[in-house]
Amino acid sequence: MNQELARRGATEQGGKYLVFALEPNQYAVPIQSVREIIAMHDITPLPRMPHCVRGVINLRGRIIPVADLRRSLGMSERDATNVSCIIVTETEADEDGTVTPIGCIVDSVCEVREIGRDTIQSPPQGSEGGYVDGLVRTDETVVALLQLETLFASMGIGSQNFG
Amino acid sequence: MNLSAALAELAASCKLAAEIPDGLKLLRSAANRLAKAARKLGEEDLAADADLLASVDGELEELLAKAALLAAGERLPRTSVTATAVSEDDALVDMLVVSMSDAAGNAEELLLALDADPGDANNLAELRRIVHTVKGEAGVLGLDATQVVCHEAEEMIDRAVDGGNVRPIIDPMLGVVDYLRRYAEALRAHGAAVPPPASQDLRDRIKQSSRGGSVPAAPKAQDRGRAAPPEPQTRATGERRVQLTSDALVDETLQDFIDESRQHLESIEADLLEFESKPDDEELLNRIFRTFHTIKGVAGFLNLTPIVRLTHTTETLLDRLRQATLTFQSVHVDLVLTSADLTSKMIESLAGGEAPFERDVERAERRLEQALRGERVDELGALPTVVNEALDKLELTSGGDIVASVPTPARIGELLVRNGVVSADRIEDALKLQRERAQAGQNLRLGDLLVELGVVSRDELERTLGGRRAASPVTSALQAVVDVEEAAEVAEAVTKANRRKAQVDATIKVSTLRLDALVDMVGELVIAQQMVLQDPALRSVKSTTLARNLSQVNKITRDLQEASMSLRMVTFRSTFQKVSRLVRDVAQKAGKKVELVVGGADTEVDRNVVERISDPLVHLIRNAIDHGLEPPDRRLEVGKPEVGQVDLRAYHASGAIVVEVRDDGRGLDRTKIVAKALEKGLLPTGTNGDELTEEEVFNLIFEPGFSTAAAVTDISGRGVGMDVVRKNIEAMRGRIEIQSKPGRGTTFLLRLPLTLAIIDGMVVRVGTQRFVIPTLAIEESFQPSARKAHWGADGGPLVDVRGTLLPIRHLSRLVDEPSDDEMGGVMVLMSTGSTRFCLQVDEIVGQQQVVIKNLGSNLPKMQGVAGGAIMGDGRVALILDVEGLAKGSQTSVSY
Repeated sequence: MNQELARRGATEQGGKYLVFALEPNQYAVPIQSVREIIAMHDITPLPRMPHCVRGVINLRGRIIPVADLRRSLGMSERDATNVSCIIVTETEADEDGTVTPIGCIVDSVCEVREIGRDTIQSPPQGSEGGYVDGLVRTDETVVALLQLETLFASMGIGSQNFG
Repeated sequence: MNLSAALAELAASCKLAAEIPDGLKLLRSAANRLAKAARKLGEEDLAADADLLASVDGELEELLAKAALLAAGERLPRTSVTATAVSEDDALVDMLVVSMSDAAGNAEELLLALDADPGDANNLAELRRIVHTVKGEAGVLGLDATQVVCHEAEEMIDRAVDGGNVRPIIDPMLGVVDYLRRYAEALRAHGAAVPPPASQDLRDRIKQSSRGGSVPAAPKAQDRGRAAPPEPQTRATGERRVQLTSDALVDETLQDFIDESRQHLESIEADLLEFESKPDDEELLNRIFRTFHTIKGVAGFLNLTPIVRLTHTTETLLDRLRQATLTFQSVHVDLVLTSADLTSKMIESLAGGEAPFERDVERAERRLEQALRGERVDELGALPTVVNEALDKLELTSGGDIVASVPTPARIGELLVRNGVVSADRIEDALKLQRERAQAGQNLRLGDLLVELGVVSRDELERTLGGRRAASPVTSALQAVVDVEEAAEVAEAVTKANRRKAQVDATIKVSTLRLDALVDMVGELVIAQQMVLQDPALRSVKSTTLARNLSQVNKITRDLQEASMSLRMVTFRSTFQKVSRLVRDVAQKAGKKVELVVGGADTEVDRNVVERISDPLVHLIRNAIDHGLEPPDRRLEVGKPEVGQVDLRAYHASGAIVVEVRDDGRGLDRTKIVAKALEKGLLPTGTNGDELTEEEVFNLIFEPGFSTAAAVTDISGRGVGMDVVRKNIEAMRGRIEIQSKPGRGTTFLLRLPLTLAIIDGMVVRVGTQRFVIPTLAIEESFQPSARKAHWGADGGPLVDVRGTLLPIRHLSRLVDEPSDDEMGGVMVLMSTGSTRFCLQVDEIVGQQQVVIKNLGSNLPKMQGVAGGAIMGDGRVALILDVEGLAKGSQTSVSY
């Protein structure tokens, strides 16, 4: 619940965001939903899963699913490089209060950035299926703020699927 | 103070105790402790002995002090024994809590057994003993309300025994069980100060059970016309004696029977004693056997059932000895002697003598049966009962002269013979001589005569007489304690019994959270250890000591894992017992007759599994009785036995636990289910369900929304619903299956993993990925070329395994992982409950135990994947679910 409020708060009032790259674009998520950032692991694929679910990895003894954000956003495939990493995100808790992290493969991590509310613009209508909360203009480019839960739901993962 | 002296003092105090308020209570408590002391002596726990005796010392002193005051004409200070008893001993309260809970559990089991077989006298006697013990223990702590309840329950049981009508007491007794449980729980939570649960209702029920029953037995003659017992603490019913049927008494052959039996039994004591020293003497054994055999025969003819029973059991023992199917032990002689004695008494009662007490006969029979089964004969088990009995007698006669009102003590002659001091022949001679001398005017005591004759020394005589001197029932009973204490053999029996008891008692409470954490940590340790072992850096080190040490670590870790997993193993016993009780209650409410057959209660399974299966099981059983089974008259109409049967079984099968719930009732009606499903919108309208397999139709009842009210008479949920049942089972990675035949019954099969945590698996490889297959699902593996391949009717490949054609599935296709060579690799023959097939893989990597990890609840459920395992190199391998694989592949056979 607090996470939820924090996230909403972040988008509405601004706050700290983690900015990362899915080349050639940049995206950001509220820092509160980021649990940790880890290097690329060997991923064990899962059969007959949605395409954007790459598989699972071993996170210190716990098995967590890993999503391929490029695929979920419909971008072209790209090989992992030595700066590719996995952002472990934490979204809403399940009915029984447990939080299952979901890893997201990104091409690289850029920075943690304070983003003020006033700088956030609404996305253009109908763009990106509703998982972009807003756009922010930076020096170099435009950063899209991702709404992770909606994105995951569209991939077929997320606690709302299975109680 | 040694034990014997303590007892002597106690005996003296008995007389005084009667005059002191609460004196009897103190005495009882002292006697209990003495009994404990005796037991501990048997265990050679001498340190404890000293403490107990010291406390007995104290109590006796108090008694004597009070007696002195009384004697001096002083008034006794008012002390409330109740107050001190309750407050001083938290440890006592704890013990009482455990004891009451155990008693409640045991009593419940007995009651359920009695429900099935009300004629079982042993169970009834055992039940009474349990209640009696609780009553006593409650008394020590001054828990009056409980004492009253137990006392009235005891009386109720006695009435049932007298009237032969056991059924009506079962419900009130279950009420007593519940009362005890509740009270024990309250005591545990809040200590001794907590008020007991309300019992007036219960007491009314107990009283009511006697209405329509028989009149309670008259109090014993030994009362000597005392006033009516003042409080419930004093027993109103007397000790029951053996009843022999009255029709026998008018039979003319009766007198012949009595005469002949007297003759037979006269020589038997001598025979037996001779036999003890000459167990090989067949003629002797035969003679003894024939005695009992003959008596049994005529007694049977005269319908003297108690005699028949006792002689029959004795005869069986003797027969086995004759046939050498039972090895002779000296205790057998005791047993047969006792039988002879009791039989003789019973026969004398036909001639106007006093019959022996039923309890004695029961005990004798019980001990005979123990000997027949080859078990240790119960010596000391009688001990606390003996003490309690003696004290009961005390209470009963407390108004009169205790010392005088005593059943005839053992004759000195018998005592001497029994102790092996003098042979029976000598006693005979001495008795004859005694008679002669008496006629000549010289009245000699037998003992003195024997000493004079030089048959026995004064010392020996004294010793044998020792117990007889202070001839009160308490002393004689407690003398038995002393005797027993000195018998090494018996002490051993005590040790064994206590050890058994100790095994049950010596448990320790551990928080389940800690236990689970421990088991998880051990699981992690196993994995980490594997990771170390598989580390390439380690492999490059060539050192035999290192290898040896690592191997040692490996072994210890595995042992640790097994041990920790076994900590969580429990049996189904308590769950099944709960079900037993439930069946009874539900059947009653539903007005149906149900017999519950239970199997495999000792099957071991992880504690978590047992906990989580409890509710679904209860639901299924309820359903079976409410809806599965027909009402009794309907069952008769369709030619079934009136009593419906519910089978509850647990067993291991291919690496899983299976729990079966079966009823022989109506069965599932396919058409009705389809109709219901259509009605509830669970099937697309317009279909008639014909295309659905039986399994699919039955599984419809698990759909949420299916459960409703009564329209569907074969199966209906209850709001709690079958969908929740299935959900619970599947959350445990289990499966629930239904089998049913209309009109014949329904079976629910619950398949559960042995433990929710770890499986033994075969690691296989396809392409770059590894997978774990539960070992128990694998029958064998072989090279593809070794067997001939065929093509099935549907175009799918088949392989011939020893005459059976089995389908082939390629794991590579099932998991979307390119194979090295689909035509090569290895074939793994998989089998589950319902399917067999061959799985083609690239390579078998090895076999290991893995900790099952969930893949994350936020992923869609995967058919064919049971979870993930972290391998030695840190990577994840998927654990395959064989049945899911098989099903999934069926839809994509066209590949």
